[in-house]
Amino acid sequence: MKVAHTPAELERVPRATAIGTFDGVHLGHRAVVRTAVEARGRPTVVTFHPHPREVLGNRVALLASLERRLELLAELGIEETLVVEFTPQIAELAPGEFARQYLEAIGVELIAAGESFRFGRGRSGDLALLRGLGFETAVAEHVEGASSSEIRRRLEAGDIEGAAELLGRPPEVDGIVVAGDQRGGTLGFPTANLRVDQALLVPRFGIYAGAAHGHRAAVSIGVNPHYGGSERRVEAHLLDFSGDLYGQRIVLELWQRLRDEAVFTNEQELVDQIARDVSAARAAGRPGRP
Amino acid sequence: MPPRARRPAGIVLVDKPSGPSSFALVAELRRRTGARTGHAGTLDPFATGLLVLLSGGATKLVPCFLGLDKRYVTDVDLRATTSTGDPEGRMLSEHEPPGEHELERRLARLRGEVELPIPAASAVKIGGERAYRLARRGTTVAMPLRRSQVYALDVIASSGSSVRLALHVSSGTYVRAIAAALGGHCRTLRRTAIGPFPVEEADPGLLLPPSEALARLPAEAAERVPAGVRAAVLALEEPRARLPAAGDA
Repeated sequence: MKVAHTPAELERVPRATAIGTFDGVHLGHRAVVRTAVEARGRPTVVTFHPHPREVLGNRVALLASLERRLELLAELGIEETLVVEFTPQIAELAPGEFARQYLEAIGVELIAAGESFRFGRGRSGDLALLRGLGFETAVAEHVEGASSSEIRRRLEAGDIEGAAELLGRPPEVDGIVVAGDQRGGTLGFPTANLRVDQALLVPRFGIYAGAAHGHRAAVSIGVNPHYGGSERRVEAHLLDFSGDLYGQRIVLELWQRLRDEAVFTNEQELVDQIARDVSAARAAGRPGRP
Repeated sequence: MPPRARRPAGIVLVDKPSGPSSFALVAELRRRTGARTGHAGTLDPFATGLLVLLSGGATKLVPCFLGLDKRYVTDVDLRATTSTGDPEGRMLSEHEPPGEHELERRLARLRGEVELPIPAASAVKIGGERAYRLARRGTTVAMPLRRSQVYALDVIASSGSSVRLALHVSSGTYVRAIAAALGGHCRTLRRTAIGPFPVEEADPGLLLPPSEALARLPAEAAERVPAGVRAAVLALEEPRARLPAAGDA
C-alpha cells in the first residue's frame, strides 16, 4: 500500500474512498473500508493524524499506532492511503473546500462511509452534501455497538473479550523491545520489555494471557508493585521462545485478563504465581473471531 | 454502484502462507487485476495451502468449485484438545497421548461416512447467535453435527505426542473436528488439493482460462452453473496470461 501525506503525491485517478480516523480499525471501520474496496475505482483511504479530537483539545488514548492502522488498512485491500495531518486549520475548512482540496484533487469519485459520517468545519458536511457536490456515495452496513470510545472503555476496564468482539480480533499493544531491569531472567522468566508510545492506550493494569511472534505469552502491564515501581511497563514472557528481540517492533496480542497486579510476601511466591500465569496463558483462547 | 471489471476472466491458484486471512489474498489479486474477484472457499489464517481465486467474469463460476473434495496434511498435537480444534483455542483437556494401537482404533472409526460436531468456532450460528458469543456467556451448546465422507486418513509421520496425517475428504469436512475426535488439535493445517487441482500447481502470476479449468472438473461440478452462464464466461476468455506482479498496479 502506498502512503502519501499530501494530495500532490497521488495520481488523479478514479477512486473509491473511505474517509475517517479509523483508530483501531474495528468492525465498523472494516465495514466502511470493505465497501470502498468492493466498489469500482482504486480503493483508497483518506485518514487523519493526529486524532482530530486530540487537536481540538481533548486527550484521546489511541487504540493503535498510525503504523498499525496503515498495516490493517493494507490487509483489507486498500491500495493507497492519504494521511492528512490534522491541524486547527483543517478543522476550520468548509466541507466543500475540504472536498475540493483533498478528494477532487486525487480523483475521488465514490465515497464510502457510515450513515452518521460528518466532516468539515463544525461537522457540517455529510453524505448528502457530498452527493450534492457530485460524488457517488455508498453507505456501509452499520455494525451495532462498534465504536472506538466503547472499545476504549472496555479496555480501561480490562474487558479484553468485550473489546475483541468489537475489534473483530484481539486488542494489541504495539512497541519496540528495549532493555529492562533484567529481573525476569533471574526469576527464570525472561521478558521482552516493550516501549509503548505514550499516545497509545494500554488496558487496565494487570496480568494477561496473550501472544506475539507466533508464541503464546504471559504479559504484565503496570508498575511492578512488588518491586515498588512507579513507571508504566509492558512486559511479555514468550512461551517456548528463546532468542533476542532487542530493538525489534512487536505487536503483542492480548487474549485474556488473568488477574490484578499484586505484591508478594517473598520472591518464591512471586515465582510460583508467574508459573501459574504461564500455565493459564498456555490454556487461553484467542478472542475476537469473526 | 457499477460493477468492477469482468476482465481479465480466469482462475488463479495460490498457496496461502500462514498468517494473512484468505480475504487479504483476494484483495491482493484484485489489486493486481482491477477486476472483481472471488474465492471458492477460505482457509483459516493459521492454515496454509491451496486457495482457488476467481477473477472478473469467472466469479460467476464459483459454485462449480465449491463442492469439490479436498486433500489436507495436518500435524495433530495429541496431548490436548482445544475449544476450536486449532492452536488458538482455549485448552479443554490435557492428557497422555494414545498409544499406537489406540490411535489406529480411533483412526479406523473416522474413515468412511462420519458425523462430527462442527468446531465451536467463528461463523457458525446457533439459534441465530454466533457460537463464540454463546460460549463467552458460558452457555454450553451442543454443536450441530455434519455428515461427510473421509476417503483416506493415513499416518505419514509420528513422534508419539504428535502425528502427521494425510486426508482426502468430501467438501464440508472439518479437519479440526477430526483432530478433536482423535483427542488432539491441529498444530498446522495445509490444504494440498481441491478436486483436480494440486497445490503444486499454485502460481499467483498465472491466470488459467475458464475453459481449461472447467474441462478438468467432473461434469456434475461444471453443471452447477447453467450452460448459458458458462457460455457467457467463456466468451470473455483470453489465452493463458501472466498477471502483473504485486505492486506493479
